[in-house]
Amino acid sequence: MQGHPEDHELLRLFRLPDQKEKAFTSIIRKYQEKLYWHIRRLVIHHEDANDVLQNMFIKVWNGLENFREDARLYTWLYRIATNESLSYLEQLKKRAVTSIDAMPGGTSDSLAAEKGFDAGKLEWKLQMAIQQLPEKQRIVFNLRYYDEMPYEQMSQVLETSAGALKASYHHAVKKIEDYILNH
Amino acid sequence: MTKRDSNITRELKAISPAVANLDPTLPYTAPTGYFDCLPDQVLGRIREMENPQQEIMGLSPLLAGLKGQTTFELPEGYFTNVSDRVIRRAIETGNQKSSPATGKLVSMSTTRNWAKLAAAAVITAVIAGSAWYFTRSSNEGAGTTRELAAGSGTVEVKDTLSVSDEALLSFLDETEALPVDDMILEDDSFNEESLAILDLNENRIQEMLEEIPDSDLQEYVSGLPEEGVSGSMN
Repeated sequence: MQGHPEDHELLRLFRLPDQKEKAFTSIIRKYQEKLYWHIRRLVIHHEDANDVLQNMFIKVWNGLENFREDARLYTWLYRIATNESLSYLEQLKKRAVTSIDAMPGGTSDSLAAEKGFDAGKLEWKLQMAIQQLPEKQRIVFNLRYYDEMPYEQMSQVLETSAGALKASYHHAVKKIEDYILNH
Repeated sequence: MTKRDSNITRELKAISPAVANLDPTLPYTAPTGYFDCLPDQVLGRIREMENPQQEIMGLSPLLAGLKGQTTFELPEGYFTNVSDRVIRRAIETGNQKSSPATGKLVSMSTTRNWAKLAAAAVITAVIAGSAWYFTRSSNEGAGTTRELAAGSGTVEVKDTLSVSDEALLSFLDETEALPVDDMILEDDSFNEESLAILDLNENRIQEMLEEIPDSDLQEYVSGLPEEGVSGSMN
């Protein structure tokens, strides 16, 4: 990323006790926006995305000293962010079973509750179409369409073969096209 | 949004030209200045986690302020001598263990237990036998023995079912032998005046009847039934 130190330099600084917090602040600044939007597209609401993102960075702080540099920091961070988002959504589903306040429609209803939502507008229709996708296809579509992540990196994040991810992306795009043309 | 990767755009167009032409800009935004504050917020939470005092300060400054205050009092110099006291007590306890025990010993002998059980069985048998005997004798005397004053002596009268005919005849003979006057005189409730009524003979009755007017006597006789009227009235 432009204007930010390289990952290996940030990791080296992080291991120096007097540089640890400074290095970690740099890591957050380097990846926070990409990770935030990745999480936000999955959990929809800002408050939820903020909770997930902060919890995710705390886990990164606790695990970064043991991070092996043979893997890329970028893909490791995405992996944690994805897992944290999915865990959060799972908690929301469980809460929806026991609470009458929870939204039974899941993320689609969350989207409809967002400020400025307009089901007639194409950008909102695209978001509605993405929420109709199965969980795995939704993640694959978001990582490819919005983050433009190469399949090799995505394969490390999701621990799935590149071929399977390509097929998943193909199915996801077709479903989205179908939704937009029929709604 | 920055310029899109040409390979990805080409791939998307091949799958769906309609989706490729959509604007990928998200319709929702993050709050203004959110990303400027995020690193400090995350580091603040990490510092709180690693420092409990800072954590409680963030959660409740009131509780953090109360943490150092002790509400319980200790004897002065308690901690300076505590190790000596503990060691001395440990030595004392060790000495006590080596000496014979002075506490009460509870015998677990089975012979004594058998003796207790036998005594309890005897007492129970005595109580049960007494109860049975008492109940039986009460039932037998259900008619109860009553004493009947008769003349100068007393006669036991038992329930009619249990009194023999000889006893009844004997009782009747005794009571007939006694003069009525004697029987009455035995009773203190009678006085001289009340006894005068018993001293009646034909002359006295005649005199009493003469004192009654004939009209009253006629009226009395007319009120009596036919069969009951006998004798003459003079």
